[in-house]
Amino acid sequence: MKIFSVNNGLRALFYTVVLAALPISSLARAHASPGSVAYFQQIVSGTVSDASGPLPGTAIMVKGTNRSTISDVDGKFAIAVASGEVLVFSFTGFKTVEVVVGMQSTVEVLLIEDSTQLEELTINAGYYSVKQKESTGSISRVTAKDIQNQPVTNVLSAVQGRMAGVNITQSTGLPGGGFDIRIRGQNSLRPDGNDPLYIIDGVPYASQSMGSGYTTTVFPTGANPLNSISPEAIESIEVLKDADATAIYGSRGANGVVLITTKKGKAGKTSVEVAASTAFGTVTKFLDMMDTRQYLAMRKQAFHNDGVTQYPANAYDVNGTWDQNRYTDWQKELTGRTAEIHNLRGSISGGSEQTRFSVGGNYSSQTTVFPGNFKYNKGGGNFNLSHTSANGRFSLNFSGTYTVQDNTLPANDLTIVSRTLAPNAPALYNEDGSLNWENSTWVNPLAQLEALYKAKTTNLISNLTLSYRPAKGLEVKTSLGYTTTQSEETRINPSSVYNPAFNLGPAYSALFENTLARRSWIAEPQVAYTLNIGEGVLSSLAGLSFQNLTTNQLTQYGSGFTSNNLIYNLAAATSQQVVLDQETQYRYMAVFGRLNYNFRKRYILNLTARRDGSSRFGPGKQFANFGAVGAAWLFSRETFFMENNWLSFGKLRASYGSAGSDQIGDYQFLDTYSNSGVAYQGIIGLQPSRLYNPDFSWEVNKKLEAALELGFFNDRVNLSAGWYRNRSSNQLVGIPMPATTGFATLQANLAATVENTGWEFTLNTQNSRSKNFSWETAFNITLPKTRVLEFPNLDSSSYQNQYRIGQPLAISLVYQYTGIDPQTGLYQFADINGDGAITNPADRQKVVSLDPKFYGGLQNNLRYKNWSLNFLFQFTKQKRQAFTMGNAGTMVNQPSALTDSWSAPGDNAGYQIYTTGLNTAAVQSQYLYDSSDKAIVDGSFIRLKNIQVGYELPLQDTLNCKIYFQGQNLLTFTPYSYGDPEFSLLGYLPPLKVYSFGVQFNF
Amino acid sequence: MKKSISLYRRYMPLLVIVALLGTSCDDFVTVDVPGSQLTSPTVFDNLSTADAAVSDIYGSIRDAGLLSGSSLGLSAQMGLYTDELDFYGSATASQYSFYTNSLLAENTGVSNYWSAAYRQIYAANAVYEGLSASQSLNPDDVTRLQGEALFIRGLLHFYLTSLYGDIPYVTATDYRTNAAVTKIPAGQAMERVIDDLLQAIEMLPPGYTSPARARAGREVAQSLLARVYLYAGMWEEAAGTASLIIDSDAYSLASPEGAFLNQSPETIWQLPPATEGFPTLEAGTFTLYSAPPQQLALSATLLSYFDDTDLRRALWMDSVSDGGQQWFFPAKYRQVTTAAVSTEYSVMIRLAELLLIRAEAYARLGNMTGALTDLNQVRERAGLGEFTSENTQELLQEILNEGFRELFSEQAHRFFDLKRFGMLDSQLQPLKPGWDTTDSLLPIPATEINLNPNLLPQNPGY
Repeated sequence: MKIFSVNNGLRALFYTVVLAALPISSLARAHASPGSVAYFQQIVSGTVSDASGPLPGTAIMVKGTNRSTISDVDGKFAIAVASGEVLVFSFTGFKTVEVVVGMQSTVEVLLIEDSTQLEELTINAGYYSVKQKESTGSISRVTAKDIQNQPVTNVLSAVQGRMAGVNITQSTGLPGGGFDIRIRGQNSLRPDGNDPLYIIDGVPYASQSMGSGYTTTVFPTGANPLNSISPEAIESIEVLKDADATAIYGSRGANGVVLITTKKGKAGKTSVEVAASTAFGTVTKFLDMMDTRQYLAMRKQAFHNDGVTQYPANAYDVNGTWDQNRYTDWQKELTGRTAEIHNLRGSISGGSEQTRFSVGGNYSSQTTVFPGNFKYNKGGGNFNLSHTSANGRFSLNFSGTYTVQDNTLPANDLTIVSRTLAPNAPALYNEDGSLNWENSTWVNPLAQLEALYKAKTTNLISNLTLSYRPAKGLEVKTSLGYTTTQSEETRINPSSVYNPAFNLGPAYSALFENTLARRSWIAEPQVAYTLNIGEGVLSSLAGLSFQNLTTNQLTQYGSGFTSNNLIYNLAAATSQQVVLDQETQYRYMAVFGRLNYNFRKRYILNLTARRDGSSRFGPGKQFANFGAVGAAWLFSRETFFMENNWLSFGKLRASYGSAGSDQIGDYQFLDTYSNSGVAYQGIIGLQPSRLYNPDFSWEVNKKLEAALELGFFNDRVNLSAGWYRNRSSNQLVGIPMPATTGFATLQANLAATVENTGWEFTLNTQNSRSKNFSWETAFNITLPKTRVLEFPNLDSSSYQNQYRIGQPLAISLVYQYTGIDPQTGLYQFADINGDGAITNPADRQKVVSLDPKFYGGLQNNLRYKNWSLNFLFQFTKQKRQAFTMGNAGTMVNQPSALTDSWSAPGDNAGYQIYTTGLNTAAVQSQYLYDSSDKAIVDGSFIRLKNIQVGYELPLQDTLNCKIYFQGQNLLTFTPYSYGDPEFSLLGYLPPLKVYSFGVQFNF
Repeated sequence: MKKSISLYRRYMPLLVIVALLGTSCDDFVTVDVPGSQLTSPTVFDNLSTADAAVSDIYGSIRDAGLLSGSSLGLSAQMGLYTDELDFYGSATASQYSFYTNSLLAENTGVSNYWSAAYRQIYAANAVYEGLSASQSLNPDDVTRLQGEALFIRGLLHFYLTSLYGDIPYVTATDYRTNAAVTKIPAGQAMERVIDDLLQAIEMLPPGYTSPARARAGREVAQSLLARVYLYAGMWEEAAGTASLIIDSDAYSLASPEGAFLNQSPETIWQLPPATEGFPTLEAGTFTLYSAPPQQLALSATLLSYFDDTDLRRALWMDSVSDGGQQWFFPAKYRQVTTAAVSTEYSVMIRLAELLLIRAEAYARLGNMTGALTDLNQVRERAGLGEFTSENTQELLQEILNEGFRELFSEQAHRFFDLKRFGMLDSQLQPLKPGWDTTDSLLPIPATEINLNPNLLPQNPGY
């Protein structure tokens, strides 16, 4: 018997087939041949394989000794061993097998995949799962471990800073509001055409805002549907980024795909988890505003500068009407409360190998930093049931998530008022506790809080997956999903918002109602087949997708009530008007497929394709094809790397392909009139719906990626470096149109190409992992670059003053600030075209990029005995618009920096001459200043996004109890002095700083 | 061989599914026109839907843009721009820049006028084109509705050129043309307005085609044309066209108390509110409930033009007081809350203006008797004595002053009158520190120039 068998294909094929078909014992017997009995060490040889064939790289060790080896490319090994010793076969992801060596000289071992270990290593790619190490695509993943216990109501908030290539910005600090997410930059010229596709348990989830401009006035971007997903119910979030991962989502994968998987039961003992927390939130950062002395000095100087000696009757702040010694910090007064956040969740899971279940519930509430009783409540439940028949052929998975949200907020955000009110404005309350109107000389900001926004949203996401395996390797599967979202919003503007001196009774009260219902279903029959071919495994998948989304929206308005107590009853309104009543339907279908060939677990080729059609396009434009090819080489499994003991894993992968975008809205290709909702003489008007263009079609995004993934020292250090290039062409946009066309935009394709390139690096290290102390670090950084690659006829298009070839999309074209004229005290700007005047657009040519230069996060998880400490730093290098408040000198407070203003010829000041608005030249130059490079400042920041300190109470084995402290946004380091640097929407409440205390039980 | 057959069998269902797919997918992704929309040809094949398309433009004119009675309309903002109104609101409001005459090309008020007007013009052109292609409508209806469309097109271009000077004159709906349209000189624009109105007069039937004088009939178009002629300095034509209205029996001056009621015999064209029972937007914009004012109040300059005996001071104004100081506001519209029926509509053109048009035209033509007769009709209704001077300068000045008193807070008559008289600078410079000669034109909105550089050059001073 030769120790090493000849390596030839035929033999390998033989092993492949035989190993898969025969029980291991018979195989072992077939190859057993009598050898000499010896007490001394003998050479034992054999083959290690798994279900799909020989398994190279298996570690083989003689128990209790330091003798070890690794199986070769054909899974073969040979090792010196004495009779009675034990061989230990281990391979990451497989159950460890021990074999007692007896008389035999050969050992054949079949390793079985370890499902518990496997869960950590397998990632969800949507229609299929892949072992992370064998993945050909770029997929980022965050699991429940990182998400749970965070005092947040929106899941996107919990994953900020944790994934390379994923940039998330919160757009309001109020609960129920939205987030901006950009996966690998902005691909579409249309600002609202860059959302990723969200898939929750296999069911696409419409992420467009549900609000109406009539009701959702408090949020800058409307009510975000993702608030309906409770972070506590989530098991994992995978973000698909490159062509290899997204092409199978075809026309909707251009901006990336976010896969959300809810929690599932695990076989074993029934376990119960209960957690509760209470948190307190405050505004992260106030602006440094002028105090009364500085403010009044500014005002008086402004009147002086304007040559006004007698203060006007309505200049209450300076003409003696208001107390000039009064000072109120309005930011503190109006946005300085502490928001209380409560979270409670519980779950029970368990089951047998055949049937598993998980049931969970959660409740959270959050108040605001505004004065008054405003509250956001969210409650929900989720369940999952899975069953596999005894023969393993049939399986079923049924999951559902139901969430109710109830939000009561002021209809208007007080942030802007808090930054503009004169610091000596009157007191909010009279001595008797009523609102003070100071003889009608001001609008009491608290009266605004009488105007309320209420929203009730219910959301159901359900999915049923049925699967049958008629033959080995063949699986027939159908995924069925149904989603419904109902939202009822109201906004009231009662007469009590007005000064009582006006005597405006309930006849002036108004009610706005918006109800929206989205219902969608999806059916996706699929066939998957796995076959061993040669020394590799061919996995194939083919499927169909049918989807239907119906949206009904009704917006109504009522005004004139007999009593404000009846204000929520539309029937009590003297007049009612239906502003909008529409039903839209979106239909979508696709055929998709995947072929994956994994040769010797080293060379992997992955082909994906999709042909899909969307009702959003006109006849003849509905269908398009998308596809991608991905490849990976696991070079660390090559024989020449086998003996290497510091490099434990190495993979080189690359992909190229296309995905598309149909985010344009429904019916845009039709030439129609629609109800304007405006009545004239009892006739409800019909208005042209849009400029007619039936010929637009898919936006195409071609993605190229290459990445290197390395694991060192037994995978204790994992490094991945990726480079991507996405080119988005045939841009599907609402082209801005001059008003002379009658509309603001035209739906059409532009021949422009936008390129996003970037580098993504992630580094995960296990710095220490002893019994008492463990320390893990995860670091990610993204260096993105967006540029307009091609734009035919940009110079004569309506985009000519918006974009520049070679520059990012997020640019500002600005005037070039040159300083302050010491004689006139006016801001000066570069006269680019030298015509003696500063004009738009000729002199507004300087390009400033607002794109982030880089961003990322650094996470550390430490554990010492029962103590744990996790913290995440998030960082971004970027430029931001400064918060400017018009002309300094009007009755609007200003940042304290503006005390440094020009007041007399020869002054060398930081800011220009004050004016009350009468100095036209100063008003003009202030405007130019706001649109100049001087008003765009460094908005970079490093933020302690999240920190958690936990302590596991040393109780009996069956009960685990952990108490913890969590903090969100506790520290922010930034040179930006205009409030919170994260977010660019001026005048809305920024994200909050939150301190949370909680307790978690498992038993 | 056997293996390949079994493979074939295994893949067979897949092939069948793929084959089936080709047959039904087009149907699956084809959706019906939604219930809230109608295809354009359908709209103009049916009188009631065609009518709804036309009346929507009137509704839009009432609610948005130039002629709206809201606080963003010409009545309020251009009143602040001249010497009619004072502003008490926030310095961050778009009205503040109107009040201080420090408008920028980026001002939202300025761009709203422009974009709302061209949107309404697009709708008028779409109606005109849609009706031209209509197969099944009665030709009389087609002519009438097209006449209204031309009236609206002329009306809006008239205001645009009066405010912005040189403007594009848009007569079709093709966006490829309209996106790169160029300006024509203000004089030519006025000629085009006159052409449109003359054609509208031809096409519109006499009288009104809807109740309450709410939509343009022939007389409405003639009244507007009289004003356009006056603004264009075509005195003969102005007097002649105004006479067609003044000399007809259809209109008469109402008592000052009843001049703005929706049954007023003086009204030539008015816009009813969106819902019967609503007050006018003007009432909401101007009425003060407490002192001091929060937004707008009449200026001391305007008040100084009124005698104590002037009935209009007592009946068309009201005041609030904080005990010491008193502030006046326009109170031509007195219905301020929602009621069962609306008693007032927003008046766009009324007989008193026609009398002043003809008085001015006569005065400029040297017909002093005719001018004095018309002027004194307006004065008499206001309870004022006869004006008798036949000195041209004095008479014209008095006609200008009478226009100020009669038409204050109505669609910026004061601005257009001062401009026509060449008196913007002499009247406003002493009163308004921010006034510059170049303020006689509003800036072309900056966003529009960015989108269509053919709109360059910008008006002087911006």
